[in-house]
Amino acid sequence: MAEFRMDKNESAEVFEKNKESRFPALQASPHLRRGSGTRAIMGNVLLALLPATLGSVWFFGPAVLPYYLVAVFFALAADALAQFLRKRRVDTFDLSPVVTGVLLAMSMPLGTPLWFAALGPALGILVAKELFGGIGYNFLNPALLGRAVLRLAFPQQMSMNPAPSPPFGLGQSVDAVASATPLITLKEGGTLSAADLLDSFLGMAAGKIGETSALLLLLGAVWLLAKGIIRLRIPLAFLAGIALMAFVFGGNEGLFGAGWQTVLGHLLGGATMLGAFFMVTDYGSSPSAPLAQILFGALCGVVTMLFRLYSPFPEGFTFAVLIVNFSVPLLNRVIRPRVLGEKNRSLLS
Amino acid sequence: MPQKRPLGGIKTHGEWLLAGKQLAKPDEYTVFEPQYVFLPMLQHIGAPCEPIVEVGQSVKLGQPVGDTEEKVAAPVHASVSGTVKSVEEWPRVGGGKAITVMIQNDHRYSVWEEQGHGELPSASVKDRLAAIRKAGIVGMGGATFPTALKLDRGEKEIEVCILNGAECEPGLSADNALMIQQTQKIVRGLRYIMEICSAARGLIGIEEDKPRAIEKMRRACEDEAGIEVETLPSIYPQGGEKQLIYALTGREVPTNGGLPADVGVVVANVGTAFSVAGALAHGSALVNRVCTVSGDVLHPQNLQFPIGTLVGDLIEHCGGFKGAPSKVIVGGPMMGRTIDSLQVPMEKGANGILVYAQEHDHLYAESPCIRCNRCLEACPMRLEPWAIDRAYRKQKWATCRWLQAESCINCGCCTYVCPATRRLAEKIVEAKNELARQRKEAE
Ligand code: SF4
Ligand code: SF4
Repeated sequence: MAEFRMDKNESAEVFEKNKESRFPALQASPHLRRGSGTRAIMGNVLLALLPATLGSVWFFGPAVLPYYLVAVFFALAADALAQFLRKRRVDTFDLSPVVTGVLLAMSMPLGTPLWFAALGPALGILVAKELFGGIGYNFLNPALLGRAVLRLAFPQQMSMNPAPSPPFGLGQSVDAVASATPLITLKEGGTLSAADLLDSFLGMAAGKIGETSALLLLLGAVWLLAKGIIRLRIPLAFLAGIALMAFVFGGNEGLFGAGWQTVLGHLLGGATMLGAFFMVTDYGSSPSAPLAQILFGALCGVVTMLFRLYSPFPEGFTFAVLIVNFSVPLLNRVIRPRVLGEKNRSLLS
Repeated sequence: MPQKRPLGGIKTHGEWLLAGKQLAKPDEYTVFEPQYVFLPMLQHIGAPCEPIVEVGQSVKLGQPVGDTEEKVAAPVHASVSGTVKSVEEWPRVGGGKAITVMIQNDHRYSVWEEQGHGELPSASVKDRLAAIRKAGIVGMGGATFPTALKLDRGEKEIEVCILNGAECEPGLSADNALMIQQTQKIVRGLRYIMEICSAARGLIGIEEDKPRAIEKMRRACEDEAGIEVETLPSIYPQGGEKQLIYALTGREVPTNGGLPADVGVVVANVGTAFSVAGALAHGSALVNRVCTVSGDVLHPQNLQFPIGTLVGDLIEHCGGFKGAPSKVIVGGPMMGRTIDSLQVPMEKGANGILVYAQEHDHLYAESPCIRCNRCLEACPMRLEPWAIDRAYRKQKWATCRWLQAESCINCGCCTYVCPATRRLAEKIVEAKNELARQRKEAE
């Protein structure tokens, strides 16, 4: 745009004209925005999930791809349906349904009927999110709700844990029968060797499509942390809760009897890593004050371990976090940061 | 080094925030002489003044043109010499109108005889406060609270007097230029303020992105007992009163209407200190100030101008608009106010003019809050903006109160960082006003 100088009257005239056309009203400050949108955040979450997603293709083969596609498609469809029913405009498309879809696909075992992958995200989004008023108002994690419903409705299929067969599923043939995951081994009183743990870390242990590799999930977590999309508070509290419970109650010979292998097994196995960095950190279903976040994270970890140790579900993460999710509105109501200059904060409103 | 890391806020360097908005010469200011000045009778927080001049009367520079008996007020002085052309209602920045005295400048700048009484060396605190009031000095960082009242400590002990050399808003450099050009006078003003408050310590807080100002101030303070210059991180809103006190002393001004004096501190802007020095050393009234004209004007610069100069005249002096203008703001990008006419005068608290051309101006549509917590992390008061916003829109006043909505300083950080571009600050200020109204009603 060429620079031009106007004389006073002319410039004033342009200003007046402009004001009429664009800014009839005075505007409130601030007049600047950083401008990174919701979509950019969700896009970064997807990017962070990419290593584990690609990893799942390596471990299980292209057979996993339809799960992702179907889950994402139905997540989007459910979202569009909800927007339509609420007569909202769909053009504020923010990628969050895609995240829900991918997370759900990652938490299915290979070999389940594909329509599970359609049902899960659709239910998760319609029930957990839209029923409560849409994004930001949901206190239940949509991906977890979809997962819980599937687990309850189809316990048999959903608790399968095929063993990976890299590269691209061409290694040993995929064993569709439930094989022993690290958590099941622990549940049955077994112990894990260092080699088992390394498998768990790299992603060679049996498990769900996208949950097996702690390494690839951690890669994504580093991205999220570097981008400032999540903070360490909740994941650390969650992992600490798990580790502590595993150490105290996880051993076979009474309290405090757990070896480091058991503790690590709980930290690396099951949905722990996916959960720590991609699920308990979900914005809507976690509280916002720092203290409340720590409580929430720790509680998620502790309840997860209660499920793992004392219930018939060795992979009780899903139910545990959903249950703790119910405390989020309460936590937000009673805990807030101490305002600058505030003497004694009243905990209860 | 400052005592405490600031809470929240936004780093001002490295952010794209101000790309292209920096001045070529942020360390200097030039003088602008308008044809007319428009002096609103209300340029401060408090009661408006009554005009005490008549149309056709000739006035001298520094002659009072408006005054009042009210306690919370500051008189208004002729900022040029010339003839009073009209006394009538005229629009102000921020909407609304005030009785305004319009003076045609005769460009002679002949000073009012009764003004210069020379220094008040041994004057009592009371006389000095009276002189400050007489000079019409108000907080020049934008708060415009009458300075004489602010410095009147009453029964309270003041230990530290703080000079605010952290620019109030990103993009402004008027205070920076003043610190570099008028170093001695500012330090002198601080000394006066310390004497008035009988405080032993003086601190000058300057953000680290102003190395020249820091250096000059340091040198000027070398022989000044009890006065130190502190470097502050460049984080907006470092110039907020509560934030500055917290950073420099670690003290927290109590919520619910607490004052800096409650924690033994008084804060003044460097511009205010400069005016105090002028008033007490030479008896001169507050007639000029410095502002930054920036954004989409041809020659962005710092200008010293007579108070009451029209916004349009300053823009014109800076070469006029660059590109078709779409928004003109008095103040800075974060807290400034848009104006709907260029014919509004710059008042005592006006520290900048910022112009946005159409290509730099965006309209932002709100989308739903995703509870990402960015607003909470950015809030320098440690509020939960998203929660106040939500409670306000549902009219849940008790929740708003519990969330301390009234502690909001309207810095705009929350709105700035929100990825859903929600108008948080705007709503929180509305909530705050509503709560204040309810409280008044209950009393
Ligand atoms: S920054 Fe915006 S989207 Fe994030 S929590 Fe605050 S209001 Fe919600
Ligand atoms: S405008 Fe108010 S709520 Fe928003 S960041 Fe500033 S102080 Fe906090």
